[in-house]
Amino acid sequence: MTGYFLRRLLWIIPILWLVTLITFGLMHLVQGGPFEAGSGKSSAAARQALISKYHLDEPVWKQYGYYMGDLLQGDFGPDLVRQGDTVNNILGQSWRPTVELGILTTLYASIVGIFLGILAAVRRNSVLDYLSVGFATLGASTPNFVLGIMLVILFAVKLHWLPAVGWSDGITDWKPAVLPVISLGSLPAAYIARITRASMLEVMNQDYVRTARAKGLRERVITLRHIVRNAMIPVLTLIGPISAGLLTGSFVIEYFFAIPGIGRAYVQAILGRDYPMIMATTLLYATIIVIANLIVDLLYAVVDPRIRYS
Amino acid sequence: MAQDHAQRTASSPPAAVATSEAAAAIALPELYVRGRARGLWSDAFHRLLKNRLAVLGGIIILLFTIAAVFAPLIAPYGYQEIFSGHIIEDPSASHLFGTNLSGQDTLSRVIYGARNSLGVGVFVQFIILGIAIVVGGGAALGGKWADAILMRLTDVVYAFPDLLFVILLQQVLAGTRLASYVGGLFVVFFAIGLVAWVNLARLIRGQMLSLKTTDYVIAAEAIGATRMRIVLRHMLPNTLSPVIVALTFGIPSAIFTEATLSFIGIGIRPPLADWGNMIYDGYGAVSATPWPIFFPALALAITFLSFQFLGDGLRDALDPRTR
Repeated sequence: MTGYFLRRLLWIIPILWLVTLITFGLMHLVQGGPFEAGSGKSSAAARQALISKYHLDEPVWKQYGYYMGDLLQGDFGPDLVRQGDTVNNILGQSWRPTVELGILTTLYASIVGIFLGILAAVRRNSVLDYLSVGFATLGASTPNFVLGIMLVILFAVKLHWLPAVGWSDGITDWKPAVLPVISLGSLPAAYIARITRASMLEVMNQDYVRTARAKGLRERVITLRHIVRNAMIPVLTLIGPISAGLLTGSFVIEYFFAIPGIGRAYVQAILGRDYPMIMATTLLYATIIVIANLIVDLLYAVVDPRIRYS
Repeated sequence: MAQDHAQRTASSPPAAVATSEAAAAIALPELYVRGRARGLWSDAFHRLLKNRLAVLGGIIILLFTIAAVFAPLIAPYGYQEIFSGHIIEDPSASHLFGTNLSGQDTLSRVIYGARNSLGVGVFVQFIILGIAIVVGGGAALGGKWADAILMRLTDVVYAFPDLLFVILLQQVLAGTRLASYVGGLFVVFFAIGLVAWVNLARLIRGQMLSLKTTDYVIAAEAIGATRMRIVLRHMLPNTLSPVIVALTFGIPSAIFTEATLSFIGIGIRPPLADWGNMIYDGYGAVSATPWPIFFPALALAITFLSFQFLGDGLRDALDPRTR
């Protein structure tokens, strides 16, 4: 078991290396470069100077060599669009909003989803059940940017309760965080609610629940200790991939709400052919995903002792 | 697409297997009682018809498909037709869904937009299926080395952040000859398809590996059936049910991805009608009227729900054990 996870941990290195290789190759296949004529204000000579300064006139494999050399020393390279700034510097500022948004959204989705799911299962076929299933269905059928637009229309444009764009740290000034978190988190919340409800209903039919009831335990104790606890196992393992998905998939929301996070930086980097920035963001995201997957598999084995890896 | 992954992880609690096997054992005699034996597919079809939501979803999808195919006959106006002096009007008798910022009829654009959305949804599944069969099937049947290499390949693709990888591929493909067909639609198809096959490939591999050890495949081997025959005749049909279900759920997921790309301006661009770019376009006039956003968003939500209902129904119908 430990051997299995050690091997998986070591596999991360070649996987990430292949990610750099594929990304590097693909992004140099994209037509145009960061210093195209007409893209900046500089003269032809200045552009040529920039191109040779960043080795963009050399063969791609050589450029890859330079890049990997820097990367292995922890240097993500210069930012080609924002001249004079480094990618390390920019990422150092933009990771916070993305991580804060990811954490807040995971919390929102988990709490709302689990609460609604339990409520629906306990009061099965009641109005509450239908309401929460209805919310879950609606939440799952609306793309996050559409939800974002609707929320902005209502709470920012019409009611002026909350700002339409921007970000602070998400905690001391919570107002700018509300709309992005709800927009991004409602789909996963709906999904978690659905799984929680199904899992609760499954556990409710188990023999040990009947036994607990036969013993004369109070319904509260049965629900909390016997049902909810066991029903949470599949839900908990879900939260890993969901939070990884939220961290890496928030770029539309970052883009829409003008949140200065990594996702927005990535889209700008691709459109501006900012090679080092594309590499850095992709690599960062890939690391998050690979590690999240590993943790999920590990969690599986922890919560369900029947699972054995070899 | 964390959702995809989540679905995969959620569908395998081992505890469910024991109870559902028991359920299958009880359900079996009922089949004999019925008198007239039905085939696997017609049996599944009858179960599907009993699921009202799935039937509703199927009917809506059918209607949307008809609207998409016969868009020029059904739409009241052309999707590019501009009515000057009728800019961002609310719904009225002459423009049932109102008009947009450029003075185009929203209803007509929603109908034409169904072509892109449904087209992307369905075509992407073909690409996904093609890659997934080769990779998943190859891994399961091609021996130890093929398995190791192909599965590590899926690990690598899985490590990429989905939507961002789609954007990168979209940019790469936009420079190729693909971009000159059907207004660049193929670029979007392939960009999504080349990223989204991973889960299906893993599913097919898992299915085939477990089928390899079933009694009927061993029996077929024992009586000397060729490998080709075993794969085509016994293994492929039996992997079909979960694959069909996965593809049905894949359609709305691809539609969402395409709408997202178009919303941020790198998918399908105006003047082509697309629900995603209509929503973006409507956002420019949002302080004046919400209608230009409302209708494409509604179409998107209805399409998504319909496929979701149909997928749920298909899953229950094709694999009665999961109920």
